[in-house]
Amino acid sequence: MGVKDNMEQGIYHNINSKEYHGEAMANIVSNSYLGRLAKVPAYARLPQEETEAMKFGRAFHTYVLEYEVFTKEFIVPDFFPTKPNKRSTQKTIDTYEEWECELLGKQPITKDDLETIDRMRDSIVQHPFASKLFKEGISETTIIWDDIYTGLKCKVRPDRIPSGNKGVILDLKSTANASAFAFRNDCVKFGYARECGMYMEGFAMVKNALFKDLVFAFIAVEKEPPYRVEVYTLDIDFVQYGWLEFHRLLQIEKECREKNFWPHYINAGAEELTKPPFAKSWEWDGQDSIQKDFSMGDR
Amino acid sequence: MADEVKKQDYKVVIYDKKIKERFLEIVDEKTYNKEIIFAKQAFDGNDALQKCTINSIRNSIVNIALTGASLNPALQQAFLIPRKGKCCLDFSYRGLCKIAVDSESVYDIDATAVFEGDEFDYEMGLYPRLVHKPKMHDKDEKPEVIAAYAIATLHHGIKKFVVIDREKIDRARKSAQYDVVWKAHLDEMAKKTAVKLLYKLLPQTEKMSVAVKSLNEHEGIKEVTNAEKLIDKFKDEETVDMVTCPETEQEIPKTDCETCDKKDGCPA
Repeated sequence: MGVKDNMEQGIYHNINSKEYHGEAMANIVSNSYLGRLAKVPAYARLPQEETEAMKFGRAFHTYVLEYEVFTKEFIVPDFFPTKPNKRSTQKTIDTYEEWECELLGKQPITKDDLETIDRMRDSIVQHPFASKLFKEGISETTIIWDDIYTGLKCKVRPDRIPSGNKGVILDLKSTANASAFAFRNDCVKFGYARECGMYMEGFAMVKNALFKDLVFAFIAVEKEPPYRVEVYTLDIDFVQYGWLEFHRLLQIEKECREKNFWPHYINAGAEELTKPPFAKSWEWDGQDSIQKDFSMGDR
Repeated sequence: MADEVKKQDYKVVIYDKKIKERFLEIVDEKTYNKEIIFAKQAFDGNDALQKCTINSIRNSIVNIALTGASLNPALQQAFLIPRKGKCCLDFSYRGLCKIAVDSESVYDIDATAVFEGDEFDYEMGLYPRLVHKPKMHDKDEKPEVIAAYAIATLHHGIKKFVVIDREKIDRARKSAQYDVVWKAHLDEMAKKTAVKLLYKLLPQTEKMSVAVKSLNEHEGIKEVTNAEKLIDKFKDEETVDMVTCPETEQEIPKTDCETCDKKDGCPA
């Protein structure tokens, strides 16, 4: 099918990851785009390069959710040659190019990473409840809808939608710390709460479902032994927080598009900073006399 | 948890500027001062309330202003009650009646419990009719509640009523999170259930919606968390142990090994 910017609202099963992240659908707002926009609008417009962590995450997702695609997209080479730079010799460049040709366009992954990913998947299978969640369902479908408040086209790609019309959306997360305390912070820090609000909105729009009938669950898997696995859902206040954040950012995007200007600042004026709570003030002898000077305006 | 109020901080939360601002948007300062004193009194002697989350305390106190009910213990309209670490604003049937009348949804509303031995008869349909002649009981007699009803008089004189029988009362009791109040004041709780049911038939006002929402959240309807919903949706699913077959190198259910020809000596 032809992937394009003006696709109609609905669920699409035949859009692959490359098409989803590719140029043709770049104008449709995604969660990662909003994540960058949240920092500063101009950031969202920068071309994105995949970091090592992102590569690992993608490999992990493909391995767990679409194993048949994993073998087509990833390869474990025998060795990793030095990546050439400006000062590299011709021999280094040739070796690297030859090595790249042997990859046949597949993404290289180290043996260690593959072992880690495999163990992470094992730990999901061994989790009494997470294994149930992943038993049957469709992975990596694309949902596209028009936002009713801004009219902007949005897209999401749920990791897994369990079969049987349960109204459940699953999201797999590889993390350094899967504890409830750490993951709760991650939900704010990395915008997982916003993601939850956005995905639920998209699902509700195309399925004509109510928010109260839907459940968005995170399966957090640690990247280090013993590969702790936890299943988390967010309470209604947290979902609402994420949902509002999603719509706040959509509003910003709409304004930027109208002006055709994505500023590299949040505040066009100036902002006063207050002392953070962790900056402890120490008291010492003679502090009073010099503090008086400060209060009098001599400093 | 950051949201948890330390015992000594509850006064700070009650006298929070945000609560005051929100309160004064709806009612005058005199009412605010009065209700805040009643709230403080409720907190003073209640350890569990003092430990409730800041947000729940804030919401409960603001809901007093939104509904117009009072925390005055003498009026017995609304109460602050700790439930599962959250402060909840609970209304008695008197409180619900006051909210309905004050918000001009109805001219008058009242509820009554029907006891064993009372003369009670009612008809619904085109010409609704309700007759209730209570029986005078002796001091030691403790008659069972058999029904309860609530009657509302609308502004144009029309009367609306609902009757709930013992089965419905028991069903409401079962769905409640806490049975203590039901055990001690069955008749009052039955009246409240009748008023809540009648609320649905009355012209809705914002104050009434806030009150019913507050009640449903904490009392009548059990709060089901998303995690509970998720577990419930996958309740019947059985987990299948998977093994990697050394022959095909594919993931297969362990039960398939039972029928395999090469199961003897298989390392899997």
